[in-house]
Amino acid sequence: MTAASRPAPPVLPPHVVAFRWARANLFSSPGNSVLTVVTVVMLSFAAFQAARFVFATAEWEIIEANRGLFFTGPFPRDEFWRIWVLLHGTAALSGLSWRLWGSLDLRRPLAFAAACVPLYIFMLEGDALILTSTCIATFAAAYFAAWPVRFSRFRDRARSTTVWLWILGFMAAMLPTALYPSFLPGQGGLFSHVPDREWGGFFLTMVLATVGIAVSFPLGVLLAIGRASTFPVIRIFCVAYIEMIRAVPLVTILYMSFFILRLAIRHETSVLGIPITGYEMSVVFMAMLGLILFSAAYIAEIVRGGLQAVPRGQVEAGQALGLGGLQVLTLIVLPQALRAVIPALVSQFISLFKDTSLVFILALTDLLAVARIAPAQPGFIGHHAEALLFIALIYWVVAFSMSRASQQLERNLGVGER
Amino acid sequence: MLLTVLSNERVRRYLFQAVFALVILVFGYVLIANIQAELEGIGLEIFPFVSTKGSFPFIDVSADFLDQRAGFSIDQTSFGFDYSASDSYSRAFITGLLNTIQVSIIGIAIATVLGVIVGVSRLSSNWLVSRVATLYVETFRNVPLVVQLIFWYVAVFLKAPRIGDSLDFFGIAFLSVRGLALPEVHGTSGFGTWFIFVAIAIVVAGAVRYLLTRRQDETGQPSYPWWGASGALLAIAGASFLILGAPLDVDSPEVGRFSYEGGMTIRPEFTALLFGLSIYTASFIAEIVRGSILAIPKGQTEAAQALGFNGSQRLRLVILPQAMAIIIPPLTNQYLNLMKNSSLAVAVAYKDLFDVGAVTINQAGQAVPLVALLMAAYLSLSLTISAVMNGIYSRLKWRSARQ
Repeated sequence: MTAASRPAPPVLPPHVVAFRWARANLFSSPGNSVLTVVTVVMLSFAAFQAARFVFATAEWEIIEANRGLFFTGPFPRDEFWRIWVLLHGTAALSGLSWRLWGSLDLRRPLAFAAACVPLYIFMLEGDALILTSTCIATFAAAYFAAWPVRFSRFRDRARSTTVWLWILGFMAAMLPTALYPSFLPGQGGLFSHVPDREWGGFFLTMVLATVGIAVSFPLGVLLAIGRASTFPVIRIFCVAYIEMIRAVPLVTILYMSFFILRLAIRHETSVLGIPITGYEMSVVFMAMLGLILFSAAYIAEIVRGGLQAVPRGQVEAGQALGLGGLQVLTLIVLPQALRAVIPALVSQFISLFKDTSLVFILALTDLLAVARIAPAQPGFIGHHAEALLFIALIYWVVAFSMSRASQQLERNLGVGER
Repeated sequence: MLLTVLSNERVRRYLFQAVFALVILVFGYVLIANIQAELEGIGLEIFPFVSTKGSFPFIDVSADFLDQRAGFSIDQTSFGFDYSASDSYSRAFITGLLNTIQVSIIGIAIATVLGVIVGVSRLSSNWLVSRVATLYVETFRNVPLVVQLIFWYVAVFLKAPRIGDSLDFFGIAFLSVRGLALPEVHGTSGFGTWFIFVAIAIVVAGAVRYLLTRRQDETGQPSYPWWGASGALLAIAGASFLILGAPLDVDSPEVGRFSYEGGMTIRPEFTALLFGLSIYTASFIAEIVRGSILAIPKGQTEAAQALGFNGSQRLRLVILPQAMAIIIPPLTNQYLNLMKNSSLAVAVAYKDLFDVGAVTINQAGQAVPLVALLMAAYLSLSLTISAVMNGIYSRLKWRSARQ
């Protein structure tokens, strides 16, 4: 009624709208106009050079010919099924989680996936194509299987079940390795043993990142609690550890792990008759340990900020309800503290993911190492740029998706809206 | 009896801490004893810097192996430090340390300038400029630094043309696979004298600023103390420069057959490291700058507008002083990160502290003391940067508290 009585805004022809938009956003002042023109010139030059490289100069055969190397390094072909099982499990759980927690707006993620289509076409053929398709189908099946649960009264139970499935799945995935670590004698059994020096490529990068995140996060939370504790001995130890680790580069920590801690673990010692050291550890394990020790210090510092942000009244309210110290910590303080620092935590996880590339100094064959080896093959000599740009794209896609996911998580948990 | 004692809260606290300390001590002891035992097996000492023979404090930095001939060359040294392949490991170590310091200082300067420009651009009202700045940040932040470093080194600077076909930047600078050639500025005979004049100019400029600020405070009329001070500085320094007959000699590089003649040549390893470090760190600094400016309440800008301040005055007198207090702590972290990340020089074969350490470990086989030495060196560099930045921060807080 009011809408009808008011004259409708005139519908402007599109070129007028575009003109007004350009005047407001690109040419609002003489300075801005100059800036726009200069930027356009520079951008076109850069875009032209980039397009010329991608479509004319570059020879992308180096990527096509080394697909396996990029994804799994020297991993034995006969054992690829393990990785596919892992991927299908991850796809199923991701599908479930997406439906249970994720945003209902699928436009952006789908647009992102569509943008990656050239990558799939380029990378996949034969078995890999079929198995990747079944992976995507598994994801979709899990997503739609969880469809009715999202708004039902079973949602919370479904969510906690999913969390447990993730934890159990992670442990199940680690089990074959934990059962046959290189320090235990004896081979065979249910599965043959794939020594971890045969792990490589993107697979190794993801293993290092996942284990690193999964282990360094609880360790970092413990360190942060220790730093905030009222026990001076524990506090001093935690402060010393955190500050010491944060003051040195990761490469020195990796060296320390590889050259010093490995010696310490190798020598046999028992305390009270229990052998606590005396194991020959693999390089991958020592690299993981280095990454975990390093990342835990940074996570502790982030969580400390979160702990400080929880008002004192929350603790007092918990005590007034008759909760004990541990209950106040785990039920009241930690959930609020962690929720407040999600963005910082995720950027630390992204850092850890990117930092896995530093294991090249321990001569491991991770994604970066593959990109350094591939251009040394006959036929591909000197094509460093192609290999490096390709892995840069992979790192970028993963890191960027993680940062977007964290923004989504933040929105869902309603941080900063109250 | 035992139960009564244990029910006492304080006793329990002490007991808990004692157990914790005991576990840590046993753990540390086992760690060190194991390392020592393993090293003895191959005839090495755990920490050869501590001698039981010498006098207090028993620290003997010139441990035997550090005095041995290093035997590897370092193509580029910093701050005019001399090093040749026949020098000792300890001298190589110092050369590496100086190289780390140099690349960190230059990198911090470039990253700060670039980061501020990109950060402010992201807030620009110009749609295109803010989009380009966003693209920059999202691209460089999400790719590992070491990938970027290797890319700059292998795919850009080592793919530069041969020296005969050097890229010519207006005849001033040249770029080829040999490196980046820049003009070098030398002081001639009158340079020392001119330096005294510059010192005088700085003192005079300080006095001018003080007097003009006082006049401004007393009269309330703007008397532009910073313009006055800069004018005085430029006038005295410039006039004495001309009177002394321009005591600076610019040595421009020329393209020779195998290397550049004259000027200074920056090797591709260094250029790649500097490029990578500054561009990567700038993307993080840009986010810090943007966040800090956004954190200033909009009311501050409006209040400044109401007082009749123009755009640059608003930024300079109202927004930036407040943003600085928010910027400095995270900025310090980025400076520390840049310094620590310079250890990735090992990926582009630039002889920084870590690279020299890695080569020495390979050659001399003394991994344990060398890793400890490397960590100690980085620790002290970190502490220095933290101390400097904390000094700046407390000075800033003190000044804003006074006003």
